[in-house]
Parts: sequence; C-alpha cells; structure tokens
Amino acid sequence: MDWHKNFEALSIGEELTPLIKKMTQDKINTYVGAAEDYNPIHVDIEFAKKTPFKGTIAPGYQYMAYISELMAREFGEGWHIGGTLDVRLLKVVRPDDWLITRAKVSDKKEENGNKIVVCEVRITNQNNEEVIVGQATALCK
Amino acid sequence: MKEREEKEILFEDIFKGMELPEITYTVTADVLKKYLEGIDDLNPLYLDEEYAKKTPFGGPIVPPISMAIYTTISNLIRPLGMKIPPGLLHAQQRFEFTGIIRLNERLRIKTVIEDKFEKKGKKFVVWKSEVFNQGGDKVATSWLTPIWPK
Repeated sequence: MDWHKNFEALSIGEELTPLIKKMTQDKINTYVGAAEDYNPIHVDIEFAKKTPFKGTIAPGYQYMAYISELMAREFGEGWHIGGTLDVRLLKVVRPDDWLITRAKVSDKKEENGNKIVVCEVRITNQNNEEVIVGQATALCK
Repeated sequence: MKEREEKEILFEDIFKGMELPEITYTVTADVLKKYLEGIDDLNPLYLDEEYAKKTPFGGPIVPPISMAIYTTISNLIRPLGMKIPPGLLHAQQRFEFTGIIRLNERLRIKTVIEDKFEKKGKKFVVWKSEVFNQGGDKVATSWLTPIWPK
C-alpha cells in the first residue's frame, strides 16, 4: 500500500472523492459520550428548543473530523504526521442534516525539502449551504 | 455540603498570555471506539490490529484530531471552577499534526490564550493547546477561536 500520495501524480484542480454522511442525534450523543462533555445544547432536546437555535446542534469538532477522515484516506501517513487544517465554521449542523465533505487540490509546493499538497476543503449541507470552509495540507513523496 | 457554584468566564476575565491548568488524558480503546462511532469513521488503521501492523505505523494509531474531545473550552476551564457563558460559538479552528499518538498513551495538554481581539463588534479569543507525548514530543497543536458572547 502506498502511504504517501505521489506528488507528481496530483494535479491542481483535482477533486478528491467526497464523503457523504448524515448527522443524527444518536451520533451526537455517542460523540459527546466519548468526550464526556455534556453541553446541553448538543444533547438536551427540551433545553435546546428554548435557545435561539430552537433545537440541538452537533459539536463543530464532530463534523470537522469528516475532513480529517477524507485527508487520512487520501494521504495516510502524510496527513497523520505532517497535516494541517485551517477552517471557518459558518453554519450550525442539526440532527438529520446531510453533509458533503469535499477537498480539491489547489496548490503543490516544496518547502524545506517537504513536498506539500494544499487542498481547499468545504462541507456543505442538503441545502447547499456552506457549513465549513478552509484549507488542509498534507505531505507527499 | 453545598456544591461549588461554577462561575461564567467572561471576555474581561481572559487575557493574552494567560496559561490554563495542564490537562492529562489517555485515549483508551473504549473512548476511541465511541469517538469513531460518533464520527462514523471506519479507517482500519485506528482499531484493526492486524491491518495496522502491516502499515508503516506498525500498529494502530489514534487519529490526532481526536484531541478535540479534550480541548473543548468547558474542559479546559473546568479546573478553574468556571464554565462557559451560553451562546459561545466555535468560529475558527486550526490543527497541526506532528507525531503519532498511540492507544493508552498518557498525553499532556498545555493551553495558553494566544490572543483576544474584537472585530466588527464581535469578541474573539484564540486558545492554543499543545499535546505532548510521554517522551515530551509535541504530537499535535490546536488553535480554537470562538466568538465570546459577553
């Protein structure tokens, strides 16, 4: 198995295979259970109804991890050791939202002997609204 | 005995250069399993021993982004006996991954307020958290920037 993506084989503008996932209250509860960080806005439906969000929302870190999953799938070791992620969170995610996570190669560069691929990353929802936008980088060989 | 009331941490309570109490954590197989289930990530590198042995990692690793479950603001300020004010919004995030994290490894998180500023009437605070392994190597860094409600 190739653990570093071949730098030469990547072309600028290339779209990596997207990830499509559905957020659910169950997944939120499981995630929050792993963290043992029970912020009621994520898990307490009655409480959340009375807030300006009018319902529970998923933790940003939970769906941000989808970008990591995609980058790990594509770049393996070059993501886990040497990856960076820089994002802005634009819209909340609610249970039953469908999320599409995309990455597109936007640049290739060499710095201090490292071959680095830069991707524009974004997560959009079922209404095609941007949930997260930003940039991720990984090392290549 | 009366339980200690947690006080809300306000924008004015936070200053640039402020250090937060160090947190230690260990990612156990149980925590990792729940985490991966919550993000539905099935990469065998994280949990399949046989598969992971055949990779350059030589065994399962922990996805470094899972540090996020420990670097929530509420977790970071809990040792101060404080809580977040309602309405806090996660606005920006940066991660840098620099080393391998293994299951059951004891990790330390050092957090400092790297910056606080106001922009277009909104209050921002930059929380920088560095994760170190037992050997003292920095394995991951997070910059978490929320909009502070008050």
